[in-house]
Amino acid sequence: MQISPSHIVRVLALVAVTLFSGCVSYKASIPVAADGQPQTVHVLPALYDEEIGVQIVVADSSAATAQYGLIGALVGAAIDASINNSRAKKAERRAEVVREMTADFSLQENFEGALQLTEGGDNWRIDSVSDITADTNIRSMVKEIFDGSETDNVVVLTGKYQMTPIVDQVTLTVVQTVYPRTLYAGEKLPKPANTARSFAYHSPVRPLAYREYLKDEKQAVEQSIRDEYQQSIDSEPDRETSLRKAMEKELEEIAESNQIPETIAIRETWPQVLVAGYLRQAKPHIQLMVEHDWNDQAAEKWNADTQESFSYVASSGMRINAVGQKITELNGQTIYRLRHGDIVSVPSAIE
Amino acid sequence: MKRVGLVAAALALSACGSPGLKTADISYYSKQSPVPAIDGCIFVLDARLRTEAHGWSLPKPEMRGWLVDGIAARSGARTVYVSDPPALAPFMTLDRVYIKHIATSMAGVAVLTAHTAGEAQTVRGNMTRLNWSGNNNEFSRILSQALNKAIARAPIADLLRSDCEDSSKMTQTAGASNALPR
Repeated sequence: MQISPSHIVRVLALVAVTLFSGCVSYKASIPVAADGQPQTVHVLPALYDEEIGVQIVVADSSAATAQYGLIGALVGAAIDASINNSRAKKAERRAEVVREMTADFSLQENFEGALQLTEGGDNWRIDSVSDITADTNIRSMVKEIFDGSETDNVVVLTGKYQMTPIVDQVTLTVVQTVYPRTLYAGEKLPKPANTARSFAYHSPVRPLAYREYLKDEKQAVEQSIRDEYQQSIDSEPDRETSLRKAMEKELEEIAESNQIPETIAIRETWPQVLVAGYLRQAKPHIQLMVEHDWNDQAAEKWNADTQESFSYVASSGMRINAVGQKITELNGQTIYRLRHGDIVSVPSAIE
Repeated sequence: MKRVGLVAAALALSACGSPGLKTADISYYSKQSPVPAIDGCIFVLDARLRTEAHGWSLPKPEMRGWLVDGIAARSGARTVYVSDPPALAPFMTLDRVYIKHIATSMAGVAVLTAHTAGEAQTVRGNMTRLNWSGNNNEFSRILSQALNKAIARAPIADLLRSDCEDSSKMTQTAGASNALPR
């Protein structure tokens, strides 16, 4: 690909946007129970209930390439964008298979079910935002709730579900942002600093013996096509160019189709109902995490004596070594609260 | 350079504002030649439950032309947009269409269901490409390519109807034998 000045300008703009997109950040804190007194909570589950996605490991060579100045950083950004695009294509191809398996799953319904079952939620009012349209403005809705009720806090929940880059694990993450009334002076709703945290459920990891299988099978399929065309080229050498084009097209079509070895391998690794099954299993875990976060006063204090080390696979596919406080165990998973407040449910044993 | 700097700064600062949903202006775009016209027509219904994705709004009225033009171009059949499910199969529904951002790339997804006698077959189309500037033209292209792939997987022959003029609910048509105004 030739890099023109307009390409450089576009990359520059993208880099600038990426840098500034981190302007808003929140740290977690316990929001809804102060001085041991229960407060009223108005919950808005505003979950963008789109289909499951597959994460990619994002290439980021900026630290290395920036050593060569702005030009180096721009070249590095272009290379990263190219690598990420290739990874995104593969991830979307894998996601297509998994999306077929989770066509009937609704994140919104599942999470609202978890909230409704949560103990201690007698003073919570749960209002769904199930029909998010172009006119929906969550902050305006929060403001209206404060203006029209006596509630102490409004909690907005957003979430997503996705699979790790090699499709060996499914993760469901819910992020809560709390708007305490104490911040609202009746006019403009302030940005809710320091009141967001996430609850994440990481399913058991499926044994992925399929990587080698994938490689072998893919090569075998491609080789058989190449052999077939080579025979035709040998017998009709004057048609070599057109035959080679046809071969490339066929290889591309096979890569696009649902019958490539990778797709078959994912289907073998994940029996039809398992992905949605794990996602539904997440419900009691999310419920327990919310209960702990909202009702347990002890959760506010970090006790260094009870912390323990554990490791888990993050949705990015990276193995994370973490320190947390064990809350409880549930269905072969252990739930930990991390020091900065986020809560994770991870498989009790990772190979 | 000054202009470039200003544009970059404006774009950068826009990331700090309230996200809000913007309505995408999508029209069908394809480099592929239209499929030769065939007899019969296809009834299509926009059955999406959600009309937004990743900060972009894709309302049904605005997506109607894109859907009708795309199916007509890739199936060769006259395509009739209906606002309610027809009493009798076959017909096709658009179940989902969205754009998803993945790092500096974006993926367009279109999900269709072919409702034929006694069964429903869901087909998907997916297109991933580098996101250069995130504008409507790019969205139109990527969604159109995703739609093309979904239609290529659909059982077009099973969706053809002969009672093309019989539907009182038809609101928009496109295709080789298009007889109604758009």
